[in-house]
Amino acid sequence: MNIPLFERLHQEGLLSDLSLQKVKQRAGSRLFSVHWELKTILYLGILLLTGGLGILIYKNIDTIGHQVILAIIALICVSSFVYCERKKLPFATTRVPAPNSFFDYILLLGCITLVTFITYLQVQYTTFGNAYGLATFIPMVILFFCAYYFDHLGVLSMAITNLAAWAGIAITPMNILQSNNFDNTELIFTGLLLGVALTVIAWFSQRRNIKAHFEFTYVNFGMNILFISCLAGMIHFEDFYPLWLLPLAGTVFYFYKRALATGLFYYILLLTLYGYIGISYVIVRGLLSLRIDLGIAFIILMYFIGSATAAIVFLSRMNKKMK
Amino acid sequence: MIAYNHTSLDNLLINEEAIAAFDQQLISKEEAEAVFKAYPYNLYIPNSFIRFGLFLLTIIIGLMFFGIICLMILDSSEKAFGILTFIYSLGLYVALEFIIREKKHYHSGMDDALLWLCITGIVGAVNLLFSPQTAISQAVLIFIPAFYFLLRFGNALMGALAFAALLTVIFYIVTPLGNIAKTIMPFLLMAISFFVYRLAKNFSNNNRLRHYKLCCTLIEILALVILYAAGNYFVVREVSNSLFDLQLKEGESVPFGWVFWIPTVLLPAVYIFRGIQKRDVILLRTGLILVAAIIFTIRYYHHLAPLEIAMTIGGVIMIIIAYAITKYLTPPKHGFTHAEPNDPALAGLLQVESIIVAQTFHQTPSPEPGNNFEFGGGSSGGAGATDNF
Repeated sequence: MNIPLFERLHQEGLLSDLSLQKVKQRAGSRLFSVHWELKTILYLGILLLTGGLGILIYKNIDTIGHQVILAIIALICVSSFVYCERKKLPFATTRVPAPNSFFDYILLLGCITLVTFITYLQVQYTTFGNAYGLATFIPMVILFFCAYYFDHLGVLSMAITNLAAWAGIAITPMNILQSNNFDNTELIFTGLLLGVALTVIAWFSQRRNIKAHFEFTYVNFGMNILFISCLAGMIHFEDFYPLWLLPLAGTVFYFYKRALATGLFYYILLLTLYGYIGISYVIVRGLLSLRIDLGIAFIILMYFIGSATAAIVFLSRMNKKMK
Repeated sequence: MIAYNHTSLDNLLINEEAIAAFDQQLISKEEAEAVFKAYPYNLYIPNSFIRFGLFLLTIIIGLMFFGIICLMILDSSEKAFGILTFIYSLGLYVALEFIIREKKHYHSGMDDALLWLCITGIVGAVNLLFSPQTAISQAVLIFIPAFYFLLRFGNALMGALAFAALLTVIFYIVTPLGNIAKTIMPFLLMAISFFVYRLAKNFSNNNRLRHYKLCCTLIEILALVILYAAGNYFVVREVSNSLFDLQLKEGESVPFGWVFWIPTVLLPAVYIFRGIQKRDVILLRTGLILVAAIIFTIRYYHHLAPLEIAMTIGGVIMIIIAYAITKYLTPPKHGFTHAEPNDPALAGLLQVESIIVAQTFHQTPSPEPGNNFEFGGGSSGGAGATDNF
């Protein structure tokens, strides 16, 4: 708080005596918050602990020690869930805040150790049979349950990632383009289906007000996979590639409406960039299929200057419109 | 000196203070609105997402425009090409000044993009025209426009670039002076970083330089990190080995290497201690991040325990530390609290947090069929930081 500034504003009659008093009081008694520092330490601690335990059981799989490690993992898991169950606020379909910042990460610890445990049982004893997918399906169900039961965005994101993995797609931000081979018809249609499904769930959550604050998380994953699948379809198919502009346009239009309804600039940015890439791809590919010479190169460069200017105008208008 | 309108920038600062006070319920809505009305600012500041979009699109336009220039002079000499590039950069600079003066852009993405295109163009043009060879001339070439842009546009990244270029210049001036110069190099760099840190710290509290606050913050962080890096055992050993061609074998140390273990271990502790003492977020957070650097350095040269055991024990210790501090600070003590700061601007962090969690704890990184199971959380791709143990 800049006290001289507020004193000046007070002298100019913009602030009341009481407000100035409050500002001065707050500046004097201001607490230094180490909230995010603690959270980061906790996050790294859990990352290290679960990672370390994961390697430990893997390395000691045939020794006596690994029973002990397994027992430790089970113990951590059970005690985490007991802690969360005792501390949590009563369930509601609306947003339930965490009782303290420690709670969020203990729940995360519990969920991860549980999934580690289940995966171990599956590998060692094939507890859940040989059907492919079951080993990802069961953790997914558990994660979704925990996300809703304890109201946790991080666990929900993990559950959605698991759902995608079960469908055959890596959906985490760093892996979405690296781990997937989008030059594959089946994967493209799976991606479309998954994107639509996530968007429908998001719409349903918000409509029925069942954990409506989960909407953004669903939309974020759904929207990105939908757009990427549309663009991948365009690049993958030799014939009729311009037809992919139709699902792309539909997606852009739907999220444009959602952006106006929710006031989120993030949607506007994504739909502009993905839409721009899609249209430009079709135009450039069309032009290059005519012939390849300097004239065409010149037209393409001019196209980019003109279209990017148009996109800038669009973004600026949206910025004004949604303020 | 700064290109943006002074009154508008001042009023923007006043508006921000009023918003912060309103968010903490210190002033009423009517009072906040009265302040906005009394101190209007005429600046185009789009939302950060729009800013990102505008940045990308402006870069596209700039590059395509340059492409057209290239097409037109396809088979002329390198000199002619350099002159055209220089004219192109000047054109960008004029455009930059224009959108700031006439269109009132302020951190809109377009001004940032033009700034970067312009500095790249200038450096490229001079390289084409004079083809300077030495590292010093390149560093000087980057330093001059970066420093000018820092002063003129108050751009924090330009400040960081200028600082880095300055250190490079010093490094390459001192190195040829002989063996003594090479020996004192780490201490020289530490001294310069410390000096720059003090300078930036003083500047950030200086009301006359209020529009450069973000630049000062970034340079403070960078100076603290370089101050540590210059005295870090790993950096000193590996950098001297490769740049000064010492040909050290594994297990061998630089002369008087033990001296560098002292700052390697002590400096982060000093940062954290001073950060707590002075209630300085920058010192505290930089110190905490550098703890990871201590652990990395020690583990690189001394294998105390296998990775997974070190990870498990380290994880448990960190959880216990976080728990103990949380308990200790309930209720708040000595002016510290573990409660969440009441700042609506941080609401988006929760979404970011959930995405980081999903990224680092993902269980099944390979969706292909087959018995390709991964044990445990985060032990695969996303566990970047964990390898440090």
